[in-house]
Amino acid sequence: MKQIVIKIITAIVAFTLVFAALQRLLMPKYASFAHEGNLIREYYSSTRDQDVIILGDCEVYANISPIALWENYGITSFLRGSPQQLVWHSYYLLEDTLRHAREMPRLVVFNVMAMQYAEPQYEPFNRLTLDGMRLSPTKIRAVQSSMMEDEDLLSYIFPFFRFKDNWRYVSAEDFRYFFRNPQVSINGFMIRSDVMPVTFIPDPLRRATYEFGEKPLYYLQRIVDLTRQHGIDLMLIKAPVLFPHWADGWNEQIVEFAQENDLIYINFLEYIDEIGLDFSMHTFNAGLHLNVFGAELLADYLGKIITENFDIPDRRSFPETAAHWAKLTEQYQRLIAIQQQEIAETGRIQSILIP
Amino acid sequence: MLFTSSGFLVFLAALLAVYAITPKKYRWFILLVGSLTFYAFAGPQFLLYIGATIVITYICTMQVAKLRKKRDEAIEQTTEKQQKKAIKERAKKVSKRWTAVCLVLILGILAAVKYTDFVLANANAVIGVFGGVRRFGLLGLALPMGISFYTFQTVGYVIDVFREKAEIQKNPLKLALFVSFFPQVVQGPISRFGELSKTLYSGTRINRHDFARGANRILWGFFKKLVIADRLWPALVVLTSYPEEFQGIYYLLAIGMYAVILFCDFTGGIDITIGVAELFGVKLPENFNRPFYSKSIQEYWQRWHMTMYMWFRDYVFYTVAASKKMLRFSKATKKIVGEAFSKRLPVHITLVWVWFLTGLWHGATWNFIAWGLANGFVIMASLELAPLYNRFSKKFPTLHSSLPYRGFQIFRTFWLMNMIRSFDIYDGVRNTFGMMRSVFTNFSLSQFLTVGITELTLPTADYISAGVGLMIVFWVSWLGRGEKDYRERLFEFKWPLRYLATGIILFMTLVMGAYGFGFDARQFIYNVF
Repeated sequence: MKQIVIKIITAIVAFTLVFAALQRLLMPKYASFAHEGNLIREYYSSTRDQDVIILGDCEVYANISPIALWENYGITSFLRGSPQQLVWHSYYLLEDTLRHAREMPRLVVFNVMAMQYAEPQYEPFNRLTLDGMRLSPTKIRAVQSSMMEDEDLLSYIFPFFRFKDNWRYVSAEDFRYFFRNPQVSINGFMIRSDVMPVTFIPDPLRRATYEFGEKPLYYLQRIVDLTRQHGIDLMLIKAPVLFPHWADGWNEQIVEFAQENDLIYINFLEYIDEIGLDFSMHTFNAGLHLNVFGAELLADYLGKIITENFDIPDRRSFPETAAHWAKLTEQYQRLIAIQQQEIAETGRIQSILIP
Repeated sequence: MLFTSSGFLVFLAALLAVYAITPKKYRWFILLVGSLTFYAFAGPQFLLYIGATIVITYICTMQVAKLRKKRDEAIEQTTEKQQKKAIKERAKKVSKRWTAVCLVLILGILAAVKYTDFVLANANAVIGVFGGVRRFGLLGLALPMGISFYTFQTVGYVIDVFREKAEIQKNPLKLALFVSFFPQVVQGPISRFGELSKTLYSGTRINRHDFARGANRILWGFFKKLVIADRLWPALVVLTSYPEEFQGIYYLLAIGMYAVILFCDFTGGIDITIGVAELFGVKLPENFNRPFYSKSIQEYWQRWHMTMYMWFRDYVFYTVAASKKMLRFSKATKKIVGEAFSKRLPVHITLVWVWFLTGLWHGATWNFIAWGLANGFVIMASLELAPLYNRFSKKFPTLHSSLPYRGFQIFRTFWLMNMIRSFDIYDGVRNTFGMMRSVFTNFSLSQFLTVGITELTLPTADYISAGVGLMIVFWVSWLGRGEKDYRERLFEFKWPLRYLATGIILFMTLVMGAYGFGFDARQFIYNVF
């Protein structure tokens, strides 16, 4: 009997170890492509004590520099954004943030661009957001609300079942980053210091209706309720990028929603000049996203609004916090310098990973 | 519910748990509930068909049982030999009628759902040939899961009851379990009541030995199905969907690939079936015996889908070939074809009939009928040429028993069977013959040398993984030669080595298996027959 127990335990332990190792090996490391896949998980290795949490899609992680917020206003912030992050993704990421935060944030800023999507759009975007979340009941609920027809919960709990076919493409990168994925952001912000000016603005897609769907409205309301429940302020924004087009119909509904819920809503598209944005030099992909210099301008403008309207402390006088942010600033500037050098030498940037 | 789906594994685990905690006496009932639940997953409406088969079989066989009882009582009361004989004959006659009614009804259900549209479509074609305008509308009936398998198994039981080779199952629910036992309802094997009932109703306690053997067999089935068959399937679909582009050497590649896929798909499915049954302590018959080592088509059919072969042999071939009518026919033709051939004539006629039915059983298309007849004609030809072979082997005894000659025989049988099987994978009989002809008229070697297999949509890594998998299959097949099956050989290894081998197969299946996101889960090929 004893021998049988030993055999069974040995088999279970061996299976678990091999399975875990294979899962780790086969999961994408997002080191040479789709770097955004690392954004969500980087929150857990941060200090998790930020005063401001900024939620949204790429209009967040590419457009607002947390270093500028820190340097200009002493605001500590983290961007919990990922590509095409849908409203329910943002809601569950907020739940997740509150679950893991060492200190409760004081303000949540939510970028409303994703309100236009009533249903999940594309499985890889679900993955880029959800795979980075730590396993918890919140994650399970996030997955259940996000899954498309051909997805299943099991493959989110054990991503092995989604990425098992990567055995065909295993490379040195998978071994190099076996224990830890590369860092791609400074507090959720991805640095791009190159420039691709706007040359034209694509025509907006015509839609049959500009009414928001029930699902995004439901989750927006839940964001409002959750922040109120925890005594956290909430602010709605629309980032100042030229496309995808932000329709007037959508804007009106957000204005109305903000009034009904007594929230501040700033559509930065209306303040492009005031912010100082110049789309011949402040975008790295022709108006779709800001580059780091545009993101610094927007962060400066946003910081001003935050300090005027919310009770967010200036933490530059807190030595421990200041020391930590000095380190982040140093990393931030080092990468910008590297990228600038690459642009000078080759005309384009090659480095995305934080050195 | 696919055997290879996570849903099936959950269902199986739940059923095993309920089975384990149920008292021995009622375990067979849990298997029945599980079987009907499993069947209902394919579509609850299909329960009506299988239910009808069970009810008809039960009523008819119970009538036979009553007759037998009366017969035995009457025989006991009489001492006259003649009278006893008369009672027996009368009872046999009536039970023959009940058997015939039963067979007509249950085979009628199969014929109605499987062959009505085939008959109507052909009738429409005939009407068209004669310039008719009116057409029969097709019914488009959905085929209930495993209907060909459970019908044949039930037919076997009814005939065995008539022949007094099987006991009559008087409990209708136990009969229902025999007909619907869930592991085998999908694609066989076609079991005999006498054998299956020994373990089906015994309520064997789940024990470590059976569980380990069963789980190992299931894993092996998953490996063959997911790592080889389903991995290669997309390439075969491309090869056979564009026959005008992939001719000659590509046709040979397609039929060779189909042999591998069909073998891994069907034997994999049977491995899972037998393994699942073993978990519950139920012993099912083996359906394969290393068929690709066969040296003739006749031998091949004694080693491939053996339970179907034996079913046709016992219930059709012997019945027809040894019937009084056939013997009379043989006598009548003696003067026309000669004594020797007239003796072989019943065998040949029955062979054609059996293989026609075998083709039809596989599917209601002319392709399957052509496939069946091709098998029949090859077997007939080899029977006719047997004296020639015998003379050859007597003249060159060393050559005949030499390894290279046996290798040649295996090679020849493999490719001949592949050619016959091409009726399975190409559309239309004419098209299939066209593809066979392309080996001589459009070999496409230069296309193959320049393009190779890059147009078949599969990445090279998939061929490599399927190839490695196939090598393992051959190794295990070699391991399982002789009396012992491969698991017994495996269990002879020391436990760390045994666990390691199982672990390698498990992780190869998990990593290299064609399942999950991006794959269309594919039903077993034999499930549609």
